[in-house]
Amino acid sequence: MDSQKKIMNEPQAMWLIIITLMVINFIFYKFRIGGPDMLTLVGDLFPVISSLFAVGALIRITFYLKTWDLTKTAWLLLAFGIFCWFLGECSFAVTELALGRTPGVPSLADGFWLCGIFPIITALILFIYGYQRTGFLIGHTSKYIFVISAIAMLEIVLIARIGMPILYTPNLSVLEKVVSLVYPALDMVILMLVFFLVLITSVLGKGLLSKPWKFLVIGFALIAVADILYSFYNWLGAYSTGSYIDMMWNSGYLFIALSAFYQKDLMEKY
Amino acid sequence: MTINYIAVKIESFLLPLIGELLTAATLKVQCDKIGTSVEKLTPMHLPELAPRIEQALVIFLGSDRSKRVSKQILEMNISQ
Repeated sequence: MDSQKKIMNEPQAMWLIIITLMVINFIFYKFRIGGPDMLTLVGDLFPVISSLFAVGALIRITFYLKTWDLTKTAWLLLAFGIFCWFLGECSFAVTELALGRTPGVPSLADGFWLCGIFPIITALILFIYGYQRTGFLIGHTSKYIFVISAIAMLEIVLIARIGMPILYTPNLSVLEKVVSLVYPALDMVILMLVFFLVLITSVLGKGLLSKPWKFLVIGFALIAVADILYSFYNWLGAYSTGSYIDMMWNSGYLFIALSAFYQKDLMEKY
Repeated sequence: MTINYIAVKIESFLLPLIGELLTAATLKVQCDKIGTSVEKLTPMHLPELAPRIEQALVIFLGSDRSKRVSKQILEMNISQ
């Protein structure tokens, strides 16, 4: 019945949630409503809520894909990776809110983050591998070489600006040094895979198939850039919960959730 | 230039999915692989063409949905 027709579809509803959460997040960060304690509370709870959205949406997609194939494996790995990151966000929030201290490096949150990044990297590789098997155009090889070169140069800059100073900081343990260096290095891998997916989705143009991947790319790009900025500011001692970097993480998670909503929407059409 | 009814139908089906650039390229490549051309495509070629398109869509739609797409392409034969 027309009167029972949905006001908006699921991706549109998710857009509304993203905009609402980001506006609320921005207002708290900009105007510091409720003082430092409220800022810490909001800064710790928003990543938990945002990553929970992503986990929920990704798990739903894995149930929606009935046959166990490359596609289901890739989405399942993403769901598992983001679930680990969600646990990392929860552990960070609990440490800061309940125990009243900022987790150092390495912390339990770092452990969850490292557990999550490998399935995520594998999932992104599976998407690229799956696309390569389709026989569709992949674009000019020169563009891929350019991406690899640009990432390699960025990696060199990061090693020089962050890696070397961390390595030669005398009061850091070996474990602290390793974890601090692994973060930006693995983020660079994610960023490179994300750029490959950008090239692929640009070939797909405005086709419906490209939509879920486009938002996945935006989500992971935001998270990877936020991680790199975090490494830099944290090393300078200029990072604290409630920084605008947090908004990049939060919106990254929400865009990953959005991509899962678009994936379900796409599959429902066929 | 003659218009191939089957090719136009498949193109109009794939266009919203994979966009203009890939639709033309995919159809051309897959027709070449089954030993025909877009201009010479006939309903007889569909049973060979449909599974190839199905394979190409698996990473985006999963196996089940891709099979459905393949079935829809095969049914074009009947519905023309």
